Amino acid sequence: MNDNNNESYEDEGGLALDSVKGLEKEAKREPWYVSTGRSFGRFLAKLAVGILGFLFDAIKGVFTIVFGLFFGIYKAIVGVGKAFRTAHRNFYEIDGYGKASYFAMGLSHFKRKLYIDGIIYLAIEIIFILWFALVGWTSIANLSLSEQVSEEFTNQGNQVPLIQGILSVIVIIAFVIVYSIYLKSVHDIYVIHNEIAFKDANARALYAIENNASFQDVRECKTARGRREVLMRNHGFSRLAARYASYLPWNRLDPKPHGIEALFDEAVRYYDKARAKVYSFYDDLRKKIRLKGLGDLFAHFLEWDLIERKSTRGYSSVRDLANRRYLSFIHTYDKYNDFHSRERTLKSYISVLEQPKAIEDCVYSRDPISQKGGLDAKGGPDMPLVYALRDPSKYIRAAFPEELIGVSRKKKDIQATMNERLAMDGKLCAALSEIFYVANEASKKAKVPGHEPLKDGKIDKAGLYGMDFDAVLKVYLEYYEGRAREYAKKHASENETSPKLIASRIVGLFGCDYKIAVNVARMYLLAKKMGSKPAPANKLPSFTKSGKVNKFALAGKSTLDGLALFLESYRNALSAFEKENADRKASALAKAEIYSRPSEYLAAAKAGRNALLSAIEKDYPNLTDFDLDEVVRDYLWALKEDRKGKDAPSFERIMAMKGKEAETYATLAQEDFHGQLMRFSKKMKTYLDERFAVTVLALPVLGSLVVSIVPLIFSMLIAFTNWDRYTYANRHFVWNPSAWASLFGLGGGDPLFLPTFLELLVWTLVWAVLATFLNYIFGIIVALMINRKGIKLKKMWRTLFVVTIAIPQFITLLCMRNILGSSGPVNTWLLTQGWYTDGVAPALGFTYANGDPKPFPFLGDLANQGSLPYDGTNPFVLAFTRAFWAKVTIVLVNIWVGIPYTMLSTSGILMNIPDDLYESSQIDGASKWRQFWSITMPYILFVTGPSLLTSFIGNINNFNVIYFLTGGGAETTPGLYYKAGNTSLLITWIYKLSTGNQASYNEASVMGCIIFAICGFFSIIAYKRMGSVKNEEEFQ
Amino acid sequence: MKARRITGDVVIYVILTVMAVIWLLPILWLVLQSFSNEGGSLSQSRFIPKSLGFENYIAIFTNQRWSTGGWASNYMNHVIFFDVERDGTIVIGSFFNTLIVAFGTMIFATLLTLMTSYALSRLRFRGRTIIMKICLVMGMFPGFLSLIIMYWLFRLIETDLGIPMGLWTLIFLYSAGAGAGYYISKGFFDTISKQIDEAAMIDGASRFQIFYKITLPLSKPIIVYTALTAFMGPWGEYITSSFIIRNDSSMMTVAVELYKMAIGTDGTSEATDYWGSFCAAAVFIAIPVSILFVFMQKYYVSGVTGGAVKG
Repeated sequence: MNDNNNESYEDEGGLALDSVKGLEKEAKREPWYVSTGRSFGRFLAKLAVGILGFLFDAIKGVFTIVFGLFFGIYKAIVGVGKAFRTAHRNFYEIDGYGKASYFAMGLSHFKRKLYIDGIIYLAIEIIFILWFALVGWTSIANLSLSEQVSEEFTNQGNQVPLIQGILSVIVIIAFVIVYSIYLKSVHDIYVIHNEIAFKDANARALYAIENNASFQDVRECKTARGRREVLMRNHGFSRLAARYASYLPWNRLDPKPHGIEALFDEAVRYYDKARAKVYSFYDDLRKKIRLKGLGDLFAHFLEWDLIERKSTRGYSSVRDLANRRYLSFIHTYDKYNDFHSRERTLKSYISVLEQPKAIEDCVYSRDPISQKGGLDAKGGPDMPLVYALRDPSKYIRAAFPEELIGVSRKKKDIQATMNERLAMDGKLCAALSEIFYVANEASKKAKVPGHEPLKDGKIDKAGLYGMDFDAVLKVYLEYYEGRAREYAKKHASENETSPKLIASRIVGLFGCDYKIAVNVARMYLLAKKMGSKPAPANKLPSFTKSGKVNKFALAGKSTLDGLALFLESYRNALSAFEKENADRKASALAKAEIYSRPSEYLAAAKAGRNALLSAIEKDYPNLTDFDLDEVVRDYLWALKEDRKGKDAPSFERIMAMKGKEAETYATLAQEDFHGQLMRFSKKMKTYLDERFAVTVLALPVLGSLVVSIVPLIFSMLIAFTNWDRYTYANRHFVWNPSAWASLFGLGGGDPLFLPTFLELLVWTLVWAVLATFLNYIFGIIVALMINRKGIKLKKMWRTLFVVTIAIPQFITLLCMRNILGSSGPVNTWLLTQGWYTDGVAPALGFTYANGDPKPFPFLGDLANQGSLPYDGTNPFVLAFTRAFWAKVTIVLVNIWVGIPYTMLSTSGILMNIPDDLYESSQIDGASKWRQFWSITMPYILFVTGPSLLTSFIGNINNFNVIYFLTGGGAETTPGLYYKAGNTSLLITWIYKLSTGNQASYNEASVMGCIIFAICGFFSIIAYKRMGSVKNEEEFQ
Repeated sequence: MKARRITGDVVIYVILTVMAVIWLLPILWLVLQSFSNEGGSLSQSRFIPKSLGFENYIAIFTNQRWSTGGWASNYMNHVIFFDVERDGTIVIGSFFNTLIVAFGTMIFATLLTLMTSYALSRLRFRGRTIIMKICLVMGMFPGFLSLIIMYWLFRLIETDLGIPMGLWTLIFLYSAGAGAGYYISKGFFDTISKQIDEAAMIDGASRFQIFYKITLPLSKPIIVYTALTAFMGPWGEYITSSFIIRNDSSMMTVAVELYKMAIGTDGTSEATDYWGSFCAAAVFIAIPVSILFVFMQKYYVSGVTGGAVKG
């Protein structure tokens, strides 16, 4: 009891828990033996339950294992059996094109007179077999057996068979994949083929039933097997037909018609069921194949099969019929989806024409958006801005008045809020937020005496101070409208004549299609022209459905009224269009409904055609004549069919079937239509339209496949062979992951490999970081200096730096190498200037044994620096090794190489930062420093940020700088593994490892994989952060 | 305030001048070296050579060896322009080889790049993003590991099919994978309004017609840029050509030739007999390439920043 209470309190939890517990203890204090005994008992109980549970679990586990094993074995056996049976059927029962081979595929194409497809399939198969037989197999054998290398390869070493062997492996894998996909489609063909066979069998069986008198020999057989043999031998039945017919109830067959009909029905029902099953299966398969990339081809092939059969065998599937009906039902136009585009066009016409005032503005102004592509373009008025300012409440004040007026907010915040609440154009938004911000600030400050807000057609910001919010807006509006008027004056003559110019403005203002804009401009000009003419007395305004206006209707009207007439006509056209479509849909649905209610029209149908016609017309007035005809014909046909016979289908049943069919059409009408299979020439044409991507990408993808992807797989595979410097001479390669093992210290290989790799990896990363960020920072500084306001000859300075990157890099780098070399001008100068002789060189340890000064090791331990070592006891030499100096030089030279690149791109960005940003921040009292950190840097970072990561990755793989300057260092550096030098990056080490006479290609490949992993890691980060990737669709 | 501003300007002018000197001196040195008359690598240790003249230029045009003691009796191993053999056959040198490779690369690489970028920018199809991702990832793998495989494949073609390696090999290697570098031109195509395409499509234009009649005329700048970049590529490219060429002089390119002239065949000595000729050839090659680069400077800027501005 006590326990229970405790637990219930604990369940409640909360603050009072401790005090409650305390109370409990106070109230019921037990003697120790009771509590100990109880807890011991509890322990025992738990132990017992635990042991029992464990036992139970163990038993359960054993049972599970046993049963699992049993079922597993059972299932495996059944599965294998099934697989064998299916395979057996696939390959045994189908003749002709059932084999899983491109041979059969090709031949079957020939059968259908698709010669080109057939040739392609045949060629692929033949080429593969020939290639594999002649080259592939021997190569694989050579690779793995590797003892006898054929004579012809001796000259190139064993690389050739190795390459061929790996190529063979890749080709075989590719073919296995292709075949596995292909097998599915073969199975599909099998199903269809089977159906044909089934229909044939069905027909033959029916024939046998109807003419059973001539099948006396079959009747005499007692067993089904015997009948089958007789049917096949004596009557030329196919295997399936014989099987089918052998199961017929021959004993009960008698020549009475009733019996035949019953049998017939039975057979047909059986057949129908089979067909339905086959078709659903076929559909599923086709869908699955379509989902696989390569399977598309096969799905296509299958479609052809279906259609061909339809035309030759004369029956069509429900789905196919539905598709055809669907075509006549909704496709008024040639192209799929044409209706929607037309509706869309009409709607955008209406949206433009709804604002005749704005169109007029377009004619008399030159809006900068269409002319120069931006609000900040100088010289033109900003028409959208004018409209926004004319009615500020519509744009902003209504949306958030109290937030904007009287409360100080940052411009950025205003813009963000505007963006959020009013989905308007970004540039307009920015311009408005600027104006509103200024208005806000101005209204809060005291008036500046002696200033006029508008001066010489420009806004004097100081003059705005002290004015209230609306007054400031008014000033801006006045300013922009003034500019608009000026432009109108300036360009009046050209505007009035050119619809294209007007159209471009309309596009800019409304964002509509250019074609629509041109038409609207034409309408405008027409209305204007007609407006100046007197209206003819005998012509009255009239409209047509198609959206055209009688020209004379416009005569004598004002331009705006003319546009209004156009608008009305377009509205009419749209409503007519919408109605037309609605009618079509309604008629299909109505038909379905009529068919589903056969008994209601039975009486009318019996009374004759006219009565039926009027009855249906009364209930469904919207039905077109064509549809009505069809419905009536169906009804009368059903009535005729519905003889009173026992087994004949009833009128109701026929109509219900028809209704179902009609419903199918109606539902299918809502789905997409994918078109039918086309002839070869037409199919080729789709590669210029719907499949243009395939055409365009085929070559590039093939190229990349050959040049990078396949070699990449190769390289990765070679990392698992023993192609190293020892076997290079032996010409003896086998699969062997020794390079990986030695890299990770798992035995074998040189113990230096791993430490060397780590050292170079660290240096590579250090180098990449230094090279990227130093270049970036210094480049920005240089760009800022050049782009400073007071600096003259900006272009000259820029070009001076650009010259160094314009020259091919290998030239400049080789030049640097010789300048800094031991006999280069720098070292010569140092020697002649007494740098060394004055005691600096000996102090630093740069001396020969005889005390002569030695050149400074700018490039580390290049050759020709003398066989004499540097003074090994000098602390300076010990602290700063030659490799260290070489690294310093490399980084500095890289800065020399890299700064102009950053400078070039950064100054482009700097020039693009709008001046307004600086001006308005200056009004608010921001210092230069603040401007730099709050405006310039974020802007630069935003634009160049993504390229920073790319250049980081590029620097990890930066071959040129290192290789041309130091070559990575000496080939045999003490303490480093084969061919690695002190200044080597991983990439130059790979280069050295994989070239030359003693290439150690598997080790190079291993490191290639590792670089791949590192760079891939960074690039995925870069890719995920790239805004342009995320918002790709928004920018088009 | 004004005084502070002027001081700032002066300081910046000084810094810029010093930097300009640092940036231009090596190049000036190279040009001066090319006019050196000293022969061999002696002039290397001085900034201004002792005697000036055009001998180095004459040497590279006549393929004679201008060494320390004057004209050497034997011919230069490095043919820059062309050489006439004793039997009258004309041998084309590395400059013209590179020119051929550059033109070939220009045609094929431009085609492939434009096709890829157009497809990725304007067309929507299954697997589009996958292709883009694969392109990105492929760029991460050290290129010449695949190059080695390609080399052996070409050797295979040579031995098995009897088609020898040649300049076509270089053109193939430079241009076949060019589609993966679609970024800049895709960025350009992205900026062309899609409404134009839609309007054309409503009027019944096929995608090919849109590409050929609408997009291509609108994108002349990017075609020029892509072509120029492709053209300039082979001039400065070392790693691929050095690996493929090895010692085959019939397809030598300038980068490899000049590297050998400057470093020597063993790759260790700092200066060789051909130092002066190297400088002359370098100046000769640098001029057209530099002019081209300056010409397409602005595209370079928009290429680097273009992709990000949109983000």
